[in-house]
Amino acid sequence: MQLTQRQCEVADRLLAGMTIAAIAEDLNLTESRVNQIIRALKNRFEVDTQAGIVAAYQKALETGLTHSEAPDDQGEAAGTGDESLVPEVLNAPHPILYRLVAICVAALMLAITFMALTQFAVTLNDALSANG
Amino acid sequence: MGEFFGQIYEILRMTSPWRISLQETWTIALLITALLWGGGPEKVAISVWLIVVEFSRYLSINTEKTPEATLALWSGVNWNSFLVDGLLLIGFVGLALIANRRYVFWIAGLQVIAVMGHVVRASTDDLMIFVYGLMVMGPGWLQIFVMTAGQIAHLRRKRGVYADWIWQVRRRVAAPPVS
Repeated sequence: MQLTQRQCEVADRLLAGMTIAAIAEDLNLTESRVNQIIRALKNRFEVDTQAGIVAAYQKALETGLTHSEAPDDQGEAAGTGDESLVPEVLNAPHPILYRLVAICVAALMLAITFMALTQFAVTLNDALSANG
Repeated sequence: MGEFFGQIYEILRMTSPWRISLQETWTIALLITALLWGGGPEKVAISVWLIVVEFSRYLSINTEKTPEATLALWSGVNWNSFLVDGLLLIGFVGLALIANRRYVFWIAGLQVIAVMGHVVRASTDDLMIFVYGLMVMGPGWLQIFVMTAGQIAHLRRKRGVYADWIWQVRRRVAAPPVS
């Protein structure tokens, strides 16, 4: 589980029992911005209420919650999140090198599969021709 | 073995007209769905494909109609096709280097195979024409299948959670102390 730093700040304050207005004042944000972050937290934790966020956040902290380095919510603003779909090794510290290796490995696996399928088809064809 | 490949060639030749139409329709449908619901990598992948492939068709590359012309085109290295595959390789490898998707590695890998087909053909005369054609043209269809699967996977994922590009993926650090 990973949250942006801003999401962590808001979740911390919800956990402390603060109201939306108090959170907005404390973090120097508008109330609508805080509500937007709370909606993102509901989506992230897959809950419908603020109480659900608090419960899920407490559980996440116990199981090793991490937060992102960037303090803003740039990913959300761009309409995307910040979770990775690829193994971490392909993101850092040398992504280009490891990604080139991954492409070569994929090509090699595909080539071996193609050759094996072709050989199988030819062998099957020869066997059927011999019998027929 | 020669008879086997001859039969396959005959099937491919007979189905050639509708295969091209099917491929065009399919890729345009993929472009529309990518523009409407796809992320950045989905849009770039299908755009790279359509720009290069449709441009090559516009230039009448690989559109020889008679069997004799086709045979002559593929009897040596098909340099026009080599150029197109090289451009696709640059596009797809570039995409795989920066996209936060798994399927782009398979697309780039398939393109490596297509380019290797040209390289092997240039280095030896022993490669059968049919095998050369299959190595070069076969990956295109598989790339379309992979792009389709990639778009379906993207549609099934929860919105606003996963990054499109490598620079949007945040590195994980230890959690701050809770006040």
